[in-house]
Amino acid sequence: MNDYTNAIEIKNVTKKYDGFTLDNISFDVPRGSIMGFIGQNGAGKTTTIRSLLNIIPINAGEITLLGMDHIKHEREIKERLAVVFDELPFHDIFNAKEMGKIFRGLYAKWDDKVYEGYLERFQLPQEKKIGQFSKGMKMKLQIACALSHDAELLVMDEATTGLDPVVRSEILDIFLEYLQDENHSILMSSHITSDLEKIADSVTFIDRGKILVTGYKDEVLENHGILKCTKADYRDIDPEDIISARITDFGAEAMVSDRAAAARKYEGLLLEPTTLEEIMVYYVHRNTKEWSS
Amino acid sequence: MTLNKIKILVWREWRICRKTYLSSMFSGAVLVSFFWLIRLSMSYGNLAPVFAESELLAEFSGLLYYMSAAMVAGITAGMSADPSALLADVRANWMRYSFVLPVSPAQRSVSIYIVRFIKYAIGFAITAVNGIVSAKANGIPFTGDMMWFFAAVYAATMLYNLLLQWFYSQARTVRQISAAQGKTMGVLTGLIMIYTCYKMIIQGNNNEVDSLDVMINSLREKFITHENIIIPLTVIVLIAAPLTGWYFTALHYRTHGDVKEDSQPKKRFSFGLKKGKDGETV
Repeated sequence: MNDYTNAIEIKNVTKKYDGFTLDNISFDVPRGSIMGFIGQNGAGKTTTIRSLLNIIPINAGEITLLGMDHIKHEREIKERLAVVFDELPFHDIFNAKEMGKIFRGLYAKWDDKVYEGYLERFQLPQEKKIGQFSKGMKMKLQIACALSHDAELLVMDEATTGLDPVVRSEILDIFLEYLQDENHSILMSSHITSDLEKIADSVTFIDRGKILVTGYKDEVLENHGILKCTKADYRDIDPEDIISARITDFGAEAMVSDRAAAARKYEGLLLEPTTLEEIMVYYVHRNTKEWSS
Repeated sequence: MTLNKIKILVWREWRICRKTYLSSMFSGAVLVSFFWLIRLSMSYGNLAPVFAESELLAEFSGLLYYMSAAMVAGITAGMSADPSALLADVRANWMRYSFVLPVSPAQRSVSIYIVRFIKYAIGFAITAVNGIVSAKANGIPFTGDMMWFFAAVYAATMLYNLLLQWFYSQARTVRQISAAQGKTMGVLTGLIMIYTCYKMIIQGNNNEVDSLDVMINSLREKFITHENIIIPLTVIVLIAAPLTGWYFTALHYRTHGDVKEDSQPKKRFSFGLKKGKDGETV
């Protein structure tokens, strides 16, 4: 087993499509941590994940997974990572038992006992065809398959989207258990920021192919804040200090990225803490600066 | 481990396509049985008083001897190039998922070709049995050249398969994969039409149409006359076509991940093809 500090290192990666560019992005996922990768639909989350998994070739940049180049050591990396997609990638004709048989043949470290344990825990029938599973059951099956070959890195692309809160909570608990091993790391892309607020150690926010914010979740939340004021007070705020502002009939709410500085500069204004969801929404409107809901 | 991977991929591939394959083979068997029933009826059944001593019976026997074999070969070839497993993989998102598994494009391609060889082997065995039985029943000698005739038919179907595989390797979308068979048939039909035009117009071959028996015998004679070329060519095609096809398949698996389709497929006229999960988000 090789030694590495970051489970994922993405340096200056560019991927060009017609009408979309993943623009020179860089971020790291430290070993033993869970990173929330957030952004609205079409922001570039899936393209980033597909690039790092070498599903699509990148135009420029470097990607290192588990301390190895993602192309040169592709086979070795893929033995040691697991991926959970938003939709179940298994054929409807198979059942859970047959999927176990397939993965047993594909992964050197596949563990039948662990897999059966997950099936039992998730109450997934072994003989029932996958086509007859509910969305929650399908996602649980995918997670059971992902966690049964001792993967060191778990990559999830919108895995909790469309699931009810009970199933989501159950799945998040599984991820926290998985992280008990300090060698395990997770990259979790989602636009359900409440999930990430619960479990993520760090967050990266992407919009229109560009990384806007990346860092430890607590620091990101601590640095950002919302200035609440009247429209008259808002006109006195330096536009350079704000990300964007929501203008309502009753006043203005402006997002700042340096809460401490804003607190000193605008002493008389109400400065409130923010959430990941608000950060996402305010950053999305950064170009128009002012918006109303 | 590599062998295990290929073994499990073969099992998976076969599990997906076996139902379609076996039902198609069954349909083919029903069709061939229908001709056999007519043939038996002409000799021993209600049609015997009219056809038992006729020339038509001889022609029909020839038809059974060659054409049913060609038909079985055709069905086998068609099913060997069956795109349903490939389409099912794309639609079930397995195609995308397979990129994150520790298997190489070459291993996936090998597993597909092993399944195809299984299909070919079954088809060839049925063709040979059909040939032996029809030869016996119709009093036609079953000679070695008949087996080479079958092999040549299979080689031709492998070339069809290869062309189809090339179109698959170029396809990046579900729609393009679905269209690959149509394109292959279009190219082959075009080639046959050009050849026919050449024979009929340029060479002015406007002879009267021969009887079926004469046509089949003349085909067989031509085969025997040119067997010095046809047999080596068949062997080359039987070896080279799957290898090249394997390469195209591996290429397809290597490059298919680079798919970027409209999230909202444009409305356009289609021949009733179901819309697949074309949309991919970035």
